[in-house]
Amino acid sequence: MLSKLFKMSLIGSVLTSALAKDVHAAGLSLEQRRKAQEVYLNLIDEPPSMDPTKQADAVSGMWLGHIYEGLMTQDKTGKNYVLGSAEAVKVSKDGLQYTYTIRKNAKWQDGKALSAKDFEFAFRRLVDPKFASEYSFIAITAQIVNAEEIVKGKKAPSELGAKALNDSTFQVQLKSPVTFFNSLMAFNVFYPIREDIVKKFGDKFSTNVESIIGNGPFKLTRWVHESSMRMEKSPTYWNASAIKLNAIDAPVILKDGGAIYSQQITGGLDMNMGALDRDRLKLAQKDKKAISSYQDGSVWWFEMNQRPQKLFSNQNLRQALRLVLNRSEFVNKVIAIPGTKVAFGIVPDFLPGSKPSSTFRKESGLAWKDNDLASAKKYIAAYLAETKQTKVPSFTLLGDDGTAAKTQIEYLQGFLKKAFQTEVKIDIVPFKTRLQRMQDGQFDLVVAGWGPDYFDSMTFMDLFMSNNENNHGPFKDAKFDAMIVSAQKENDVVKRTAILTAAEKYLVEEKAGVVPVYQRSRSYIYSEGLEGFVRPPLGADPNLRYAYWK
Amino acid sequence: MSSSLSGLLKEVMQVVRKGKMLFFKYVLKRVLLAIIAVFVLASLTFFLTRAAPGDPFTKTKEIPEATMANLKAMYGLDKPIYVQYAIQMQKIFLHGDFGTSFRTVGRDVNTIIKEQFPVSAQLGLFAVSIGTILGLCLGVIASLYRNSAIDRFAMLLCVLGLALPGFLFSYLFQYFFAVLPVTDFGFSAENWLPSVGWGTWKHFLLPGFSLSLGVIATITRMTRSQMVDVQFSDYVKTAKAKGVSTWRLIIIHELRNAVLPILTILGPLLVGTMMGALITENIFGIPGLGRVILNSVVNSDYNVIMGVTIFEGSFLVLVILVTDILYGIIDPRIRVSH
Repeated sequence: MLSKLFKMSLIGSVLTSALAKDVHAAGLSLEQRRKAQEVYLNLIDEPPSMDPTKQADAVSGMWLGHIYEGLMTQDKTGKNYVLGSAEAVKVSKDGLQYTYTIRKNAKWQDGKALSAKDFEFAFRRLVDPKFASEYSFIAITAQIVNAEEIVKGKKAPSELGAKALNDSTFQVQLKSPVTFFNSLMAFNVFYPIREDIVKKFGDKFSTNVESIIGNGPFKLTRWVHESSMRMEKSPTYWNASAIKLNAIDAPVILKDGGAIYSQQITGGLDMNMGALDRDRLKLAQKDKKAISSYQDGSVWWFEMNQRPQKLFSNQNLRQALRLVLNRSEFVNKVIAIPGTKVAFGIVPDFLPGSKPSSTFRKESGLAWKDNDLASAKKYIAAYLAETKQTKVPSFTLLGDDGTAAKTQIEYLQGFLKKAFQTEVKIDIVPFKTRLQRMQDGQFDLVVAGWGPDYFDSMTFMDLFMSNNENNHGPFKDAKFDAMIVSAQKENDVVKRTAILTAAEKYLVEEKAGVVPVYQRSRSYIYSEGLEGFVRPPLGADPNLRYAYWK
Repeated sequence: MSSSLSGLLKEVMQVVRKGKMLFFKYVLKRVLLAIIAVFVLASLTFFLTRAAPGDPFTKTKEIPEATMANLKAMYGLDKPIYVQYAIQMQKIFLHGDFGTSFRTVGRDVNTIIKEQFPVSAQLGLFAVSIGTILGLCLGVIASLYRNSAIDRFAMLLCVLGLALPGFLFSYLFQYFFAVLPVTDFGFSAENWLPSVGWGTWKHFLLPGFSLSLGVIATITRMTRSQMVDVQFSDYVKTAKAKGVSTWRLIIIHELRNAVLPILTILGPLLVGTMMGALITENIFGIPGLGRVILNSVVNSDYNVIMGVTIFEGSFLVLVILVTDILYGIIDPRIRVSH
């Protein structure tokens, strides 16, 4: 019996070892990677959707940004938008018609020429209700004629105001002018898609290497689900000579911060898609690794429940919260990630203003004295007098169980307790529960953030319109709504920026409809000698398109 | 003479037939119970996932109403919950189809399980095989040197192995065998054990051994207590009196009897190790079912949660069923008393 058992166990363990397929046994060392111009990147997750129309997450977005290219694309700095698959664009005087000419040497990775029809197919697919793309609203934001009606099922996708006039000319008609329309054309959901490939693979389109054929600088060459991925430089890309990396390889999918860090310090990985937490950042500084930081474009603020009967429906209390916060202490001592900035407005630093040399933030100039206890006290006194109370009632701060969020929320609890002289409870729940409570209006205060969807301040500004799903307060104000609507119709960038900066001032300073706290920054380590990569607030992150080993 | 012989034969056949009937009834009852267990599990999972706050489309950025309506219609989430339940149960139990994932577009749950489960299974089998061998050895040694320093040491290891979670060992193993040599002694990662990844026999070692510690602890403790029991039984005394050699006594007379109860827990232990390696798989970047489970729960990916839960539940029920039936064959008292 026993000897049999021994034998069985032995056979079992030998078998299991033999069964394992040799997927990527021979990894390259850091030195070998340098010579081969190859980068090892940690994938933090299996990409949920490699279908450009269906993509709605950062991991898939990173891969797609290298495999495909839209009519427009980001330049080497990641800050400007330049022509991508199109060699020219003509905008009509009224700003309602965009005509793109496709590059003659633009090709798909199987050698077929890129056609304007591929864009037409992709644009129609985006708004098709049968297809239910999460980002179909971008076509509505872009004001493409009939987009809204098609998404709501009132018109057919073929009626979309985006048409291929011939193989090389693609024309888009807009309902009203959109000053940032060109930058939108770099967005994933507007990448070209080949109808013949979609037809061939059906439901399995974009689920494996064979069904993913792009038109961008890199070609997907390996995808072992839940395990590893690889893309290699595509020789058919029209600007292949500008691409120096030969391959971007994700040898493993690691989610655990400790394991990722170990890999990076032992030279197993060159870059991680995620960011370092506070403690590992300190460790990295001690280990003298190459560290850098970047603003990821998101802004974090207090959303306050402004439904009637709720505590923060009172404007005086909201004003007190706006003034009393000690943003610099919170940013420097609690968050403590280099590059994090205090926020007095809801639009982040990087978004453009009316001129290329300026930004929205510079033109707005919205700011006040941080941690202004005296003014806050006045507002609290006004609140107490108005409601005939002697003490601010207790309230609850909602948070989720992400570890970083926890320390931050504990600090805020202590701070608010002192500031409002009342009991502040914290309610830490799972992530999805927090989102559900925000949707259902079951909260008093919550720190929430928003990342940009496109290169314009509107991606933040329209959030606080009365009917926006992401306005959880909700902040409801007819004057603010009217300002945003007039900005949406304005074709003059200077006038439009002026309306929007005024609207932001009205929302934040006059009404305290939302209380901005900080602009997030992320720190990361990378292998020394890797250059030319970008970690941008919008688009593929990291963008390794122009990266190279020195 | 011949008639009495045939009568005896008949009698024997009757007993055998009766036994067969009893055994058949026993197996049938077990199988029915197993099916009911899986059905209850599926129903509970269905309603519990729906009762949890949020759905697959609850995201930081809320999806506009029109798109949401389209999405829900596409996945059949717009129908009343009892209709959804009926459709899903029908799909699962009549067609063995768990549907598609809400998160990973275009990958159906059956494919995910088919591709990811073998990885978890290999790792679990490896860990349990090693754990069983080492656990048996350690248990026998501890029982032989009962109450000595060796025994105490073995028991200390057992307590640690049972009390400390497996992933802690995963971290320690990864650090001491794969990271430390590279950072402090200058070995390159390729010459030493790989700290993460999957694909060669080397990738089994660190996660496999760290998972096997819990198995070693369980098996050692059981072996030791069974061996101690057996050592005081009469037949062992008899064997000793007859002058059987020590090794023969341990292996043939003692261990053989002590090992039976251990066999019954091996099945559930194997399933537990295969399915319980979530965090270890995460630490070593192993493409098993672990990350799939974590992701499905975090993202309320209903179909994946259903699929994996039912798959794992059925697997466990099947293993227990087989154990029960085997036990019924080995020990006739069991099938009669049930």
